Amino acid sequence: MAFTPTKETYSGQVYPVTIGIGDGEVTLGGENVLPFHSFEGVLPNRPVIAFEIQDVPPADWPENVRRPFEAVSNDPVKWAKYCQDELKAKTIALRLVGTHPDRENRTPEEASKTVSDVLSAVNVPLIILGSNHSEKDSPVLVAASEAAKGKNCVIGKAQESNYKTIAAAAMANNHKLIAMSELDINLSKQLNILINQMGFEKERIITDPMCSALGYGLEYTYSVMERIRLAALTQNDTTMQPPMLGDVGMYVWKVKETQAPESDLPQWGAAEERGIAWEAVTAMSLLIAGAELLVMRHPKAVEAVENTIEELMQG
Amino acid sequence: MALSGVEIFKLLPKTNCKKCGHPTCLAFAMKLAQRQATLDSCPDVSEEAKKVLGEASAPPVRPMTVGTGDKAVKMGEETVLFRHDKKFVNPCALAVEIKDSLSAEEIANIAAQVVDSEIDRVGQKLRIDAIALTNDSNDPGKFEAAAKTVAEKAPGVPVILSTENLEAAEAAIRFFADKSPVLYGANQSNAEAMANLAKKNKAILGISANGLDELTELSEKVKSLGVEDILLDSGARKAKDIIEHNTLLRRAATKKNFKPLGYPIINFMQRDDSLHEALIASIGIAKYASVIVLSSIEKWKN
Ligand code: B12
Ligand code: SF4
Repeated sequence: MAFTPTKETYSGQVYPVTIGIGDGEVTLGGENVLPFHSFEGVLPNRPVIAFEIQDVPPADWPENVRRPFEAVSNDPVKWAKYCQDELKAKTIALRLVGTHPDRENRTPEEASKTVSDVLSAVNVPLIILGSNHSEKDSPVLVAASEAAKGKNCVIGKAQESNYKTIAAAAMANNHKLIAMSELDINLSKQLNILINQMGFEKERIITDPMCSALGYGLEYTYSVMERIRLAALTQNDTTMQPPMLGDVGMYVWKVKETQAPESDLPQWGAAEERGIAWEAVTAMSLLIAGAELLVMRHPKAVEAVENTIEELMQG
Repeated sequence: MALSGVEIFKLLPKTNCKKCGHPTCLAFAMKLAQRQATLDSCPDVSEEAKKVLGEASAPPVRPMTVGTGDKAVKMGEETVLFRHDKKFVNPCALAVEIKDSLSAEEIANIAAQVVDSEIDRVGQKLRIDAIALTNDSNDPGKFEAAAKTVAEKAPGVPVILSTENLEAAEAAIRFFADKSPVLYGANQSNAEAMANLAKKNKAILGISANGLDELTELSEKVKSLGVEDILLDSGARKAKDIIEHNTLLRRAATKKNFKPLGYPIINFMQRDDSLHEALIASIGIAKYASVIVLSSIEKWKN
């Protein structure tokens, strides 16, 4: 019997989404095949990794991921420049975690100043994230959107409870928008539809179906992403065709495996390497599931994932 | 090719005697077609029907077990391409490579580490599942000595013997005669002898080819020589090829029920950089590998 490869033809395509301006511009998505299936379709753009920075020093990050940024992380501008110039970041994700009421409770005005300062210091596209406090994120992200007007940023995250104000602000200031729902393909579809019904184009959305770390439900995220991608490609479901985000660093550097010192758990091996591997493996798995954009923290994890992406694209 | 309910019905006794627990032979046939019942529930089915149905109802990826006892590893039995379609049956097994060119002491050390690798994670036992002993030296004597050390220091751990050298294979396999090992290394030039050796020792035969056409040919060849349990290596080593080959293999098995490729897949992931290796491994684990061979076992890997 001769072997005939079973190739798929896909009816849909992921929207190509361009972020940033000028020579810093980056495009993600655009493919018409499952992740890295270049043997049966085209993948015009490689997945993009954004380095995560914060508006306040990362006191909540475990030491092993704080250390690489020790010299710069007391100042978001320095931190952003370090990521762009030294680490060759193609994109930066600024998380305004200091605005959370239980943290520094910084005001929307303070947040918008940070955004302006960072934007005037770097050339690469900026992803602007709130503190994940759904009430506070509304005024913070509205202010941030205005401060970033004309820079074609990504604003996030809009959730079911606050999407109206945030989507309106992103629309008025010409940004892209992250729509986040909690690990359920139907919720994710519904939120994209609601946002679209406000007049916000589907082609400007990035879907975040919610991340989970290796060993903490990664398989849920994996399957939700895989199902979203299949709906987009095989059923040509346009509400599922925006690129997807994996907010990896935040979820990974919270779990026990990335924190516990080797002295407590000798059978788990060196803590630093373990943490880096945990972040990199989580990231890689989500790329295989269908993510086009990742937010990550540790430079060594990013480097390893970039090298592997290269091997997946070029062979 | 999977049979439809009606096709199955034609092969049943059609007496509607209800002994299978279903009201009619047709109802039972429908359950069989959906894999919700097994043929042994019908006491009156003919030998002829058993044969036809047995072949048709076998899972598209042949089930097999490497090793014996509590540490035996099951592979194959997969029926789907995506885990949300139904489920992936057997998790990918992790094997660590031991080169026979290492000193006896180093070999003993790695073997001991494998034995100790088990960790308990919220009730789940995770460990390095197997040892892949490779004939790096190409010296049968060294391979034999290394096999002996592994058999002594890691008793019960499933073993993959990797060599294309028949003499080396013969020398080493006797230490694992009743242990369902994998004999990996059959290729176009040594297929016949390797097939015989595998049969004699009840080993799973790992076949290695250069691409999927050659793999199909080789698989048919060893099957015709009487080998039942086969492990496939398409020759893919780079991430891009691993995704492509593994995907096409799984599709051939599950969508076309293409028998020559309806076997579990083995991928070799060894890299100089262990983090890079871990990432390539994670691709194999997500995309259809049944066994992956790693070069090192830093503790965080399992
Ligand atoms: C305890 C629990 C939690 C705990 C513990 C989670 C943890 N990581 O340790 C907390 C409160 C933190 C939690 C949080 C969330 N949970 Co919860 N949680 C449960 C609950 C009640 C029991 C699970 C359990 O412990 N089972 C017993 C253990 C031994 O079995 P297990 O299956 O191995 O449990 C593990 C996993 O289930 C995992 N886990 C628990 N919740 C979630 C949620 C998600 C999305 C993921 C990926 C993993 C995960 O952690 C458990 C311990 O290791 C289930 C409902 C249920 N009765 O099953 C919901 C449930 C699993 N959670 C759910 C949800 C939606 C969430 C949140 C997204 C809620 C939110 N708004 O943030 C978060 C996500 C957290 C995350 N990414 O890990 C949903 C999942 C729905 C879906 N579509 O898959 C469930 C099914 C409840 C529901 N019907 O809505 N959860
Ligand atoms: S036991 Fe066999 S013969 Fe009897 S009803 Fe069931 S399928 Fe038909």
